[in-house]
Amino acid sequence: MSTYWVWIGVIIYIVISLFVAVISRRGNLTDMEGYFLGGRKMNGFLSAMSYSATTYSAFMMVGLAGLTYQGGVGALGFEIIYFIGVSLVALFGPKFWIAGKKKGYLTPSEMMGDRYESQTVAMIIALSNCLFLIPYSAVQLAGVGYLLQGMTNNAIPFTVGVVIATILALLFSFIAGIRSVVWTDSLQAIVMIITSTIVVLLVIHGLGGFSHFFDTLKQNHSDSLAVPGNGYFSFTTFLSMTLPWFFFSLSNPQVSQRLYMPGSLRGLRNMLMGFLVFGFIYTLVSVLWGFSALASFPHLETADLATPKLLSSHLVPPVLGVIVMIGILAAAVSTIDAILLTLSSLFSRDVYGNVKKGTSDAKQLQVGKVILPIIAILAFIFAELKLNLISVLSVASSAGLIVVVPAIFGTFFWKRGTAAGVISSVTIGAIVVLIVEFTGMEPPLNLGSGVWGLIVSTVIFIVVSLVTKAPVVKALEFVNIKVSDAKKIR
Amino acid sequence: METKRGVLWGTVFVIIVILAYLIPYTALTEVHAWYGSFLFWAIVALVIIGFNFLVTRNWGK
Repeated sequence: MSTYWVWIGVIIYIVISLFVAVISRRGNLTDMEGYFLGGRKMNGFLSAMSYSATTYSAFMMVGLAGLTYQGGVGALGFEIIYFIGVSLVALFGPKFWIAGKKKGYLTPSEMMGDRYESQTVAMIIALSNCLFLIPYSAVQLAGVGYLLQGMTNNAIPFTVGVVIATILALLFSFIAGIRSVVWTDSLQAIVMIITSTIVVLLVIHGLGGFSHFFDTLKQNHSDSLAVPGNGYFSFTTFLSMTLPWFFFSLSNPQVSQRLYMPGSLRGLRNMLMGFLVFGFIYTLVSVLWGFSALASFPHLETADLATPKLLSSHLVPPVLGVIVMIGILAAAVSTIDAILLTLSSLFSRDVYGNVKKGTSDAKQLQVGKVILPIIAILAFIFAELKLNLISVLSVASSAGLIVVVPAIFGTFFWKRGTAAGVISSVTIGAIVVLIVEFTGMEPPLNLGSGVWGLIVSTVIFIVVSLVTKAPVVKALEFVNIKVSDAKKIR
Repeated sequence: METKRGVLWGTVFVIIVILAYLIPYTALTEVHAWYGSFLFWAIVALVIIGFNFLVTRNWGK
C-alpha cells in the first residue's frame, strides 16, 4: 500500500478528529463530575456510539478476524457470548445510575468503597484496575505501531505509529475530558462501522457473492463452519476464553463508569440498545472479514497476517484499504483514550483522594489532569519495550479484572457482603490469575486463569463475608434500589 | 411485582446463555454450513437485542 496515501489518510483523520475534540469543549469542565462524567448529562445516541467505540478496539478487525481465520465460527460464538453478557447492563445499569445520581459517585470503585464502608476497598479495586488496564492500553498502542508498519512495508516505523496513537489518545482525553472522548469516539465509531461494512461487502462480492463464498468455505474449509471444528475451539478453551468476556460490561471500569453518564434512564436505555445494534453489525462484519481471508489466502504463516494480507490484496481498492486502516486506527485510539481517562479518574479520586484526606474536588481534578499524561507515557514506554511481561499482563487483563465481579454483585444483591470479603477476594483472585499467566502452568481441568480467578474470588468473597460483619444499613440502601426509584430523581 | 418480573426475565436469560454454549457443541457439531452454528449464534444475538428491548421498555417512563 502506498505510504503517501497512508500519510494522507492519517493526516485527514487527525485534523478532523482534533477539530471535533476542540468543538466539544462545552459545559462545565472545572469539576470532577463535569470533566469525567460530562455532568451526567450525556444523550443516548452519543453515549451509544462512544460505548461502542470504547468497547470495540483494534482487536475486532485484526484479532477477531485472525481468530476466525484460525479457529472458524467459534470466534463468532466467542464474541456473541460477550454480546449476551452486555445484557448485565439491563440488570445493573439502573442501579449504578440511580446510586450515582443520589450519591454523586464518580467511579465504580468509589461506589463500592462507600457500599462496603471501606476506603481500602476503593483503593484496592482502583489499583488492580490500573495494574491490568495500563498493559492492555500498551498492547493497543503497539497494535497501531504494527498496523502502520505492516501496511507500508516498514516505511512508517513502529515507533512513529505508537507515538501518533499515544499523542492522539492523550489529546482526545485531555482537551475536554469525557466530552472530547465521547465526541471523537462517536465520529470514530461511525467511521469504523461504515468502512468495515463496505469493505466486507465488497470483498464478498469479489469472491462471488454470499452463496458462492459460503460454498467455498464449505468445500475447502468445512471445519471452519462448526465447533470444535479443527479442534482450536475445544469446549474448555471456548469456556475459558468467553467467561471473562461475559462479565466485561461490569468488570471493565472504562465501560461500567459509562453507566453514570446518561442524563436520564431513557438515555441509558438508548445507550444499551444503540450499542447492541452496533455490536451485532460490527461482530458479523469482523467475523466475515476473517472468513474472507480464509477463503482467499488459506495458507498464511500466521493468522495475524489475515487482515494486512486482505487489505493489501486486489480484492480491496487501495483507497478503501487506507480508509479501513484508518477505521482500525480509530478503533484502537478510541479504546485507549477512554481507558486513560477512566484510570486517571480512578487514581485521582480513589487513590489520591483516599491517601490524602480532605482534598478538594478542584485539587483532585488537577491531579487527574497531571496523571493523565503520566499514564499515557507509561503505556507508551510499555509498548516500546515490547516486554513479554506486558503481553502477559494484557492477555491476563480480562481475566484479572473479573475478580472484582463477585464484589459488584454483592454491592447490589447481597447484603451480607463485607469489606474484608472484597479485599481478600480481589487480592487473592488477582494473585491466582497472575500466577497462572506468568508461570504458564496448566490450570486444573484445563480451565483458564479467568475461570479460576472467578471461582476463587467468589468462594473467598462469600466465606470471608460470612465470618465478618457487614455494614447492614448501608448494604440495605444498595440492595433496595429499584428501577422505579428513578422517578424520584430529577 | 418488580422482583417477580425480574426472576422471570432472569430465568429466560439463563436459558439463552446455556443454549448459546450447548447447541453449537451438541446438535450443530456436524453441520458444516452457514445455516449451522453461524446462523444459530447470529440468531442468538438478535434474540438478545429483542430481550433487552423488552426488559428495558419501561425505563424512564
